Amino acid sequence: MKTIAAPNRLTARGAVNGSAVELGQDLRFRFARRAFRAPIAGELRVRVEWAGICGSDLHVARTGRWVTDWPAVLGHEFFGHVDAVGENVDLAPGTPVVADSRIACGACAGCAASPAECVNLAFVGEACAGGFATHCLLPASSVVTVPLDLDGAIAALAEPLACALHALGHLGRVPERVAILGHGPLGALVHLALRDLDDSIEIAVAEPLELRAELALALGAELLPEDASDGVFDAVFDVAGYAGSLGRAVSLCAVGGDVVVVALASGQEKIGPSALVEREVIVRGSHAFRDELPTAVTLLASAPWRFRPLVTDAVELDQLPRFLETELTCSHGVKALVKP
Amino acid sequence: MSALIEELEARTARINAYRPGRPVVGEPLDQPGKLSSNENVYGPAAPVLAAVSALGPKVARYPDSVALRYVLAERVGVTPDWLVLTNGSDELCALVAQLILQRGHPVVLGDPCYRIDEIVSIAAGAQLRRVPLRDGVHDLDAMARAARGAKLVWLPNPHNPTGTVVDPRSLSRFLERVPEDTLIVLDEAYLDYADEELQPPTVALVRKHPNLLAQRTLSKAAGLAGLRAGYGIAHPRVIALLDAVRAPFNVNQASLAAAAVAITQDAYRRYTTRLIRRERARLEEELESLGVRFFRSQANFVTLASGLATPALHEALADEGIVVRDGSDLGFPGHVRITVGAPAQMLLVRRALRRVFASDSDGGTP
Repeated sequence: MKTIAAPNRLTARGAVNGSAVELGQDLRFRFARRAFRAPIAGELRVRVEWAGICGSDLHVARTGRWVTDWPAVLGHEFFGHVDAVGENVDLAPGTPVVADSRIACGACAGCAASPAECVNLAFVGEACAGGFATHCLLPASSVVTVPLDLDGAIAALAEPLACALHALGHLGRVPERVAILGHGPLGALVHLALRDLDDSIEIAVAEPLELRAELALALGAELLPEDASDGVFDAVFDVAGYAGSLGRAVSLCAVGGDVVVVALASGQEKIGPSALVEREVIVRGSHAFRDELPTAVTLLASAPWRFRPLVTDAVELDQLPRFLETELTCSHGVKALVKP
Repeated sequence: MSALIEELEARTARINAYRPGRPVVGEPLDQPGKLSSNENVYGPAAPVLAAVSALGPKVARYPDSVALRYVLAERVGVTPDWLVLTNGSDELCALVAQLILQRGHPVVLGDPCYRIDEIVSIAAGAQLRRVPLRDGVHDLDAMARAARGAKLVWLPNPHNPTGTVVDPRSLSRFLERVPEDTLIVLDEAYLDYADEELQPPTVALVRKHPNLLAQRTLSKAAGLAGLRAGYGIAHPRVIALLDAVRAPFNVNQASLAAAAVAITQDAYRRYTTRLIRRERARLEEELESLGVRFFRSQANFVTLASGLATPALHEALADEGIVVRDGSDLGFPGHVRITVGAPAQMLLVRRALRRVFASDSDGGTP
């Protein structure tokens, strides 16, 4: 029978010894031993069981962008068990949880209305140590509990699934034909979420990496040809963020269609206004998620087998530096999980 | 009555009853840690499940398998009279034994063998000619010699429990050597996981050899182990005989509905099979690095020689929430058969292997 791992041997004042993969300001990853302090009031400590690697982690690794807490311990998509709690925390040690990756600044006009409206939203792993570690300290309000019978490796998909659900929430109507540019983990989750919305939606995918394209076909999509006609799709999701992807998304969109931009492309794009005007295309950005995380957990728990084909790689924490070096050169899989 | 019972008990005394792979107690709903029964951890494609969910009032009607037979035959590349549908591949084993074997009839099988082949043969009162594997692979030369005067040869390819295959050319030569009065059952349950160049031209072989019956299942790559759907491909005269003795409604409505959709899901099957092959390679690489003897597999499982470390290995795996198959359940004591599962579970398998074997170093593949 699987047992929850006992807490590591405690050091003075409730800290535990563990390890993490740190990203230095030289943009090199290193496996390091670390102590994880006891949680303070309102905080809890999670024993990380599975953490997902996100495209944004790779972007940070390439650029050092967004990190405010060096050396960084990246990883904002993770599942684990509550290991220790501070005062005024209701969750019991042993509770299975996934992390809410968002950190609101608490000071802007948006936060005055709701943390979800924060205009300076930061993320676990960038503003504070994240899930590529044996443990992670989080505010108790930054976790969502998970059913006991949900495979932790599937639960770790909750955060990106929440992002996918949030992206779908920008659609003005249920589309009949959708194009998805990019079928990495987020594109694949958008794909699955669309199928949940309406199984009759025709989905075409643009994806150059072989295994990701095979997954798209396996989930019932067609591959979008290079010379696909303009103005065909009711909705286009840009989950790729390559140079020109936004322009392509707009050109593929039918009259009155929606372009939902999820990918954070680093460059600039030129889009002719006439394309937007003449076809009345609505372009919406989609950033992270709002209140979709519990829904994502529920969806995963209701049919975990649907999501399992997205996970193509699992790597031990101490092997993560080498794995990430390879991923930064060329990714071969879809979703990779890290096991501390 | 008592004499009858005594006779049957005497006949079946040699049967070592089949013990299915254990589930994982207290594990997630869809049992990703159950690596004991060679089930497909990815299950069937979503449209297959939708087809089963949509059955509705059809469950009140006897199933009609004609439509599936036609569709399946077309996909396989034969006419429907070359095909028989069965309630799982194991039903075909039972039908063959029922049709062909009588008390004392010689039957050839590998040693170790697929347990169901053995059980149905013993139940029929057949005389088993067990031919030891060579390095985990069927010894086709010895099997061909043993087939003289035999009624039946059981030939799972890939082999269960070793996962090895015979190369297509050796298979062709074997088929030429076996007497035409001996039926050869070529069980291809795991063939989807084999490298393409090792997959024989089965339909062409069946057309060439009227005494060849190819046996296939939708339990593995198609992910329908729970619905029991299989089929056989053979000369129409053989198929007609099997049709004559099988139960009339042997494949139920749910299985028919699921199978009809599953056989169209080529892209899903290709993708999930590819994931399994990736993990199989990773597992074999780990075993090699640990110096653990194993059989290089072309199936969705890998069998290793665990020897005295067997109990420790089971315990280490159980600590990770993983259950595998003990070789003693498969007529192969001292070995453990590990179904290849999803990447997360296979990482845990590799961890357990390192825990047990990392300090050992004892040779390479058996």
